[in-house]
Amino acid sequence: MDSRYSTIDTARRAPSRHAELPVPLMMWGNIPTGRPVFHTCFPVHPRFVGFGATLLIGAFATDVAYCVSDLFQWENFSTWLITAGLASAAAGATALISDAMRHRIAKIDWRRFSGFSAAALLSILNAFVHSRDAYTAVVPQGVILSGIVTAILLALGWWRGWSVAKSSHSQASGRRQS
Amino acid sequence: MNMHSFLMGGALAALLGSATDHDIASPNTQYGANPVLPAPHQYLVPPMQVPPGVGWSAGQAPAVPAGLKIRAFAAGFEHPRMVYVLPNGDVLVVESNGPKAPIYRPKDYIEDKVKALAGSSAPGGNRIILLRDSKGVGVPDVRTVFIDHLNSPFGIVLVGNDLYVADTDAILRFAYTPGATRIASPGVKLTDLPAGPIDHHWTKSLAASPDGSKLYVGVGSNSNITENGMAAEAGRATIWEVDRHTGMKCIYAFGLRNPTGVAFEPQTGKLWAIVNERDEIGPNLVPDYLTSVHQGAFYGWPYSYFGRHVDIRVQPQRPDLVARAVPPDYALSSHVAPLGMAFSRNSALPQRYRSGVFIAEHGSWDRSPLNGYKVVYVPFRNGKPAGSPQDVVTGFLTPDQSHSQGRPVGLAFDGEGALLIADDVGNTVWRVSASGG
Repeated sequence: MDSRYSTIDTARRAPSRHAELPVPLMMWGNIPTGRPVFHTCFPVHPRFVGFGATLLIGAFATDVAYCVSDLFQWENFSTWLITAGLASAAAGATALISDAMRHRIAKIDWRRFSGFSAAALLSILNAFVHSRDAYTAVVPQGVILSGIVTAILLALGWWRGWSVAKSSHSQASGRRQS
Repeated sequence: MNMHSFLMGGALAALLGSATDHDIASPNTQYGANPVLPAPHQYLVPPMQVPPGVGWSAGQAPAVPAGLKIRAFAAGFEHPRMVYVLPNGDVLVVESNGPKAPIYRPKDYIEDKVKALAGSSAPGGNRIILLRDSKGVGVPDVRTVFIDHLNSPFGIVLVGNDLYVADTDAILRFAYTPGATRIASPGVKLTDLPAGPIDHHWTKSLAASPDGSKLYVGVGSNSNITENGMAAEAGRATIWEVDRHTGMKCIYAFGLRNPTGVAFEPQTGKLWAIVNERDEIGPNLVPDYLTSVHQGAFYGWPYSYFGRHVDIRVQPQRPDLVARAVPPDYALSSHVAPLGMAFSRNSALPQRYRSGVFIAEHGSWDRSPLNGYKVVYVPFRNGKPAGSPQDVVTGFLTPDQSHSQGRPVGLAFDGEGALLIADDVGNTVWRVSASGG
């Protein structure tokens, strides 16, 4: 456990101006001096984007399982995975707005933003395809769509993670991260 | 269809929240033995129209053509589904609705909401009400709870003094004493019927053979088109033949998606059924039908419809079964949802209604524009349908089709030969008689 969360260790920590504050409170923004001590500088949206991407990629796996087995339960798994993936994408979109407003990200990489948006829109379409009954809910359009979505998400996320922020490293070094 | 046009069209349809409209042929191209069957479509959002169920205002009633009159026989029921008339003229009204459907897919949740809007989710009484018109004035003056604590009952038939009630999970036998106004003793189970935990098409229709030795039970499929897996369909989409004395049963005919009514044609003594066919492949697919039922015959579901029209949604396919699929006798047109039938021989309706079958079309939201929501008459000659269905009781929908005031289900002829109609949105039993008498 991170020692910041431990009250037992507090006494042994190096003395600081704020040693008198309960440790958990130090997590939250401004303290009475008016100066932020622990700033939530990490953007929130990648957590939801990554979570949703995992679910949508999972739907491709269960679609493939349905294709090779014809077992209806795989199709049910796919519909729930796509639904939950879209819910997570919606949470990610909300978090991105919050990240931008609170300056937790400096700049948006619009190409990455478009890529994630395309994956979400194709998944909305795929949710309708998957709402069909039995075979045509998956074959062929359903599994094609979840395959395309999986390709987009892996291409975007494998090397650079789930943030749509412009990488500070690539800005500083003047070259694209690959 | 290439991928590009599929994606573009699909995105557009998803955006608009509706499927592209195709030219929808009139239902009258789909009556009789050779309905026009368009090519099937796989939709993103299938054509739908949901008229909210609002019930009847005071003084309102369905419409009937000249020569007939209609009025409420009794009202204030809890989702009446079936009517049955005992030999002494007492009228039984089965108050029922299906068991709570499990949510297996996000779609089930949405369908739940649609059903509630259409007035199909009102709780059923799970009981049978007895009505008696002891003064013979056409208005019942006795109303009792005849049998209580049933489990989603639907079909009901009296043979001798044995009254059989088809709950969703079993056929029960009750000892009936002529003139009784209630049966307190619990029923004896004759045999189990396929039921939960899914129980998608929950109604079990019931008829007795003319000699009274056998019962015939219509058992609907457990899905639209096998989306709950084939294991869930064991014993379903069939008509069972049950020995009345031993409870032994066998499948009499199969491949009938949802046989909501079974009855014996009085002239020939042959078994007929009304069947609700599959949804979501088009506004004119697949026509619901009326058919004679041959022993051992396969009527297509799920692999094909109207003979050998293969449904690609079912995998793996069964070409061996499709090859022997029997086309039904008489299409009623698509998505009319026939739920009740009554042969009219010996009725007291005008002569032109005395040699055929009345069919209650509950109507469905799986089509736009709506179809059904009426009671039709199919004339018979020599034990076979002869001619188009004729509208008899209409006006269940408001004139703009925006709401349903009622939806017809069970049909029966009362002691005076008038037609009784159970209406499960209006919670009323209607009585149609000749306007002269």
